[in-house]
Amino acid sequence: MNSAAPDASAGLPPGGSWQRHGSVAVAPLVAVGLVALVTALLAREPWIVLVGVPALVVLALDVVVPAPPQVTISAEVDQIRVNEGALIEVTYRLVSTRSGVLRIDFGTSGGAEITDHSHREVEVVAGVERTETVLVRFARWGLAEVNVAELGWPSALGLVEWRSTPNFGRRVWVHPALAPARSRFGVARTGLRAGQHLSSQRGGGVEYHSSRLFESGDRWRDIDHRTSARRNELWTRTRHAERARDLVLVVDFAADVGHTSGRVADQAVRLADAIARDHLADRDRVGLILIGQHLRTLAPAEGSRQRERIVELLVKGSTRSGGSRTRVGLTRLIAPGSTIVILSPLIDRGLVTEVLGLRRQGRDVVVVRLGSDLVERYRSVNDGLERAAASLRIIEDNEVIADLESRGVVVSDISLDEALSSGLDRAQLRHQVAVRSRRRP
Amino acid sequence: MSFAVMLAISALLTVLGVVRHSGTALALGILAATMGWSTVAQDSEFTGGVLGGAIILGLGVVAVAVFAANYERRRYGSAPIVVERRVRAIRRAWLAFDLAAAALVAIIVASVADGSGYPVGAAFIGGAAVIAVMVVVYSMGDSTT
Repeated sequence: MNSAAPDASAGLPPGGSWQRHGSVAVAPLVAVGLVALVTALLAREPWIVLVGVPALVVLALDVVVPAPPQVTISAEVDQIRVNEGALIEVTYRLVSTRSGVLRIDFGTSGGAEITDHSHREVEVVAGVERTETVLVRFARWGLAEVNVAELGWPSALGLVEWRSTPNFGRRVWVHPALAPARSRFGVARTGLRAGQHLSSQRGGGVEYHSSRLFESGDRWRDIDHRTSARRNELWTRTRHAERARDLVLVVDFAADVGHTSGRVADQAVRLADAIARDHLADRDRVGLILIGQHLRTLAPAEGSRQRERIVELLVKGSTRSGGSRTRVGLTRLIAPGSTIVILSPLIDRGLVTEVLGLRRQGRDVVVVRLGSDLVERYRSVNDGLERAAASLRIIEDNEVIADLESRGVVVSDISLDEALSSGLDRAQLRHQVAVRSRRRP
Repeated sequence: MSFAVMLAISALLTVLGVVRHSGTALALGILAATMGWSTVAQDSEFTGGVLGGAIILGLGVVAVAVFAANYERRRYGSAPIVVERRVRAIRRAWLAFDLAAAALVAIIVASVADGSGYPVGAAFIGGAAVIAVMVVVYSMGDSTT
C-alpha cells in the first residue's frame, strides 16, 4: 500500500468569518423580561418586575460577549493514500488567541466516515496548542476528505454562539481494495522487451522452439544430442524468446442508469486495478485510457509505480453521462500490437464504433461489459413507455454484441451482483480461446 | 381561564419549544406560566410569598431557557456533542454565578419595591455568594473570555 510522509498543512485563521447566532433561549428571556417590565408599569405592581429581573440579568451577562478570537487550525494525517477499509488518525492542532470553550464539528466527504465523536466542545487556553484526534474509516475508494466543518465559540451559558465555517480539511486518496481475481488475458502479440510470455521468435527462453545446424558461437550446452547423433553432425536446440506484451485498459467511467448508486464505476475501478496488478506482475507494460468527464491517458509502462499511477488516475476520475456519444479516437491513442481491454457498460454507442474501428485494424480487443443487467433492472422497475424503451434497448444491445462478436471482438458480461473474480475469469478464458483460434491456420 | 389550564398550556408550549428548538413556542410557554402565576399572585394577601414566588419564577424561567439552549446545542448537527468534563464544570460554575447575580439583583429590587428594607441582609448574603462563585470560576483558570 502506498504510504506518504506525514502531511501537515498551513494554519487557517478563520477570524473575521464568524457569525453570531442566538440560541432558542434568547427569545423567551427577552420576552419575559420586557413583558414583566411593561406589566409592572401598567398594573402599577412593582413586584412583577421581579419575574423579569433574573432573565434580564442573565441576558446582560451572557449575550453581550466579545467577538471570538483568532483560531489557527492545522491538520496532519498519517497517510494521504490508503486502501479501502483503512482506519487512520487525523490530528488537528488548534491554537486560539484567547481562552474559552470551542465547539468543533468534524465532517467528511467521499467514502470517509468518522468512527468516534464528530461534534466536540473543548477548552482552549490562549496560546497553548490543543490537539484533537479524529479516527476515520475509509469505506469506499475515491477522493475522501476529513474537515472541520464548523467551529463554534459559545458564550459562558451558551445562550449565544459565534460560528465559523472554515471548511478546512485534509484530502486522502482511497485506493480500491484488492479484488481476489487472477487476470491473465491471452497473448496475441508480444513486444521486444523481456517478459513472461512465449514469443514465436527464437531467443533465450526455456521452452523448446526448434533445432538447427550448429553455428560458431553456439553454447555447448545447447547442443541437441539426439538430433546430432541421428544426423551425424552437430545440431543446436533453440528456444522461444520470452517477451512482455503491452496491455491497454480502456475504462469507460459512465454513470449508472437508474438507482444503482455508482456500482458500474465501482466495477470498472476494481477490475481495472486487478487486471493492471496481475499484468504488471508479469512484467507486461500496462497503459490506461479513462473516459470520464475528461479524457485521461497513461502511456504503457511497467513496474509497481505504474500501478500507483493507474490507481491514482482511476480514483481521481469523475463519471460522465453514459448516454453521451463519445469520440475518443482509440485507434490513434493506442499503439499497434497492444491487447486492448475495454471495461464499459456499452451504453455509449460511440464507444462501440471505436471498438469496431480498432478491430478493423486487426487489433486484439476484449470488451468486458459491466453492469450487463442494468437495462434489464431499469425495465423491471418501470412501466409503460419507459419499459417499452428499455425492451427495445435490450434488443438493440443484443444486436450490437452479436455484431461485435461476429467481427472478432470478445465480449464478456458481468452483471451488477456477480462476483468480479468469476466475471474476470470468464472474460480471460474466452479471450484465450479466441487468441488460440485466431492462431490456427 | 384557570391557573391549572394556563399551567397545562405553558407546559405543552415549553416542552414543544425545547424539543422542536422553537424560540417562539418556548417564549409563549414561559409567558403563559408567568401570566398564570401573576393572576394567582394578584389575589394573594401575603406579600412575602408573592415576592419570593416572583423571584423563584424568574429564576425558573432562566433555568428553563438555559436548559433549552443546551439541549439545542447538544443536538446541533447529525450526532450529539461530546462535552469535555472541564467545559461542563466551567459552564455549571457560570450558571451558578449568573443565577446568584440575578437573585441578588432581584432581592435588591424586591427590597426597593417592598420599601421595608428587610431583604438587605439577604442581599449581602447573595453578594457574598456571587463573589464566592467568581473566585471558584477564576481559580479554574481564565476559562472564559
